[in-house]
Amino acid sequence: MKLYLLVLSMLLSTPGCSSQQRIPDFFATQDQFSANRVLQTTRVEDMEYETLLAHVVDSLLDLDCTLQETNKQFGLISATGAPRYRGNLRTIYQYWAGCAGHEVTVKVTRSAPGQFDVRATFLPPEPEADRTFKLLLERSIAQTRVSEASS
Amino acid sequence: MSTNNITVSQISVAQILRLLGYCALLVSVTMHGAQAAEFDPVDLNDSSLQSRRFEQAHVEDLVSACFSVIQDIGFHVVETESEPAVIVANSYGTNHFSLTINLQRTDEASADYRLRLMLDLPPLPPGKSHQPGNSPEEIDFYQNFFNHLNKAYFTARAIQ
Repeated sequence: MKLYLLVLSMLLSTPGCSSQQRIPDFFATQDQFSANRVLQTTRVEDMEYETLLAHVVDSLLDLDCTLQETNKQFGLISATGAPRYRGNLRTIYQYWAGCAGHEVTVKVTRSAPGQFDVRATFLPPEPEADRTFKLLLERSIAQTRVSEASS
Repeated sequence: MSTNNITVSQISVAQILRLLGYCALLVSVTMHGAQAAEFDPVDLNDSSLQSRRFEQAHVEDLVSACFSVIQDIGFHVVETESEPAVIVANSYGTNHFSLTINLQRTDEASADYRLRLMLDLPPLPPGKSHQPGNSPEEIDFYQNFFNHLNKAYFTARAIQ
């Protein structure tokens, strides 16, 4: 008798254990997708693809990030911020507290011959992060161009 | 005689309980059988819900469109593979949702591709399991993702 009850309770309790995971509405802010894309994208002209990828990596290292995934064919670089900002680039404090604990995905897309769009997205999202990355990328490119011009 | 009656009634109760037990077991098994029978079409529907075909596709633009939507919805790319094209991305946080995209060429001659997207839910606490099949929220997610992917792909093609 006890065995029946045990088997019965086990069988009947199994469906009760399952539950439905609540999925956040990832598209809730879809009205802002276009605007965010513009803020997160830097257009770079007259540059080789490989050189641009190197500048992206340079900017991420300035932010004290550790590279997580790189795919040259896809133009994809992802990275994670160091747990604590080590002050790799001290002037960053002028713009942003640092990349600590953040996750960054960068996609380089060819928009025309010799012209690329670099989109960096930070998680959790922060407008300061977008601005700082753009600034660091532009600075990295500018420094190379200046040194090329002077040599 | 009365002793015999008590014995007979005790046996009857035991038999009835045993019969009820069998019935309950039969009902449970039948219910599980019915669930299993219902699960098969759901399983098949999963594949069509999660897949889209792209005829004469430009794979570079299609991959770019995937990344565009992934970045729009706040996922972080953690893994990629070029051949065959695979992208794995996570939502932010420790208890994250995970997305896997697989782009598969279905016809070598005509450059037709099948894109499969799968949303993995975070693990539940011990003793809990996910219900089989897709919730309305999951169905919405897949439909929204593919709508945005189509737009992003169209935009990428228009720029080229």
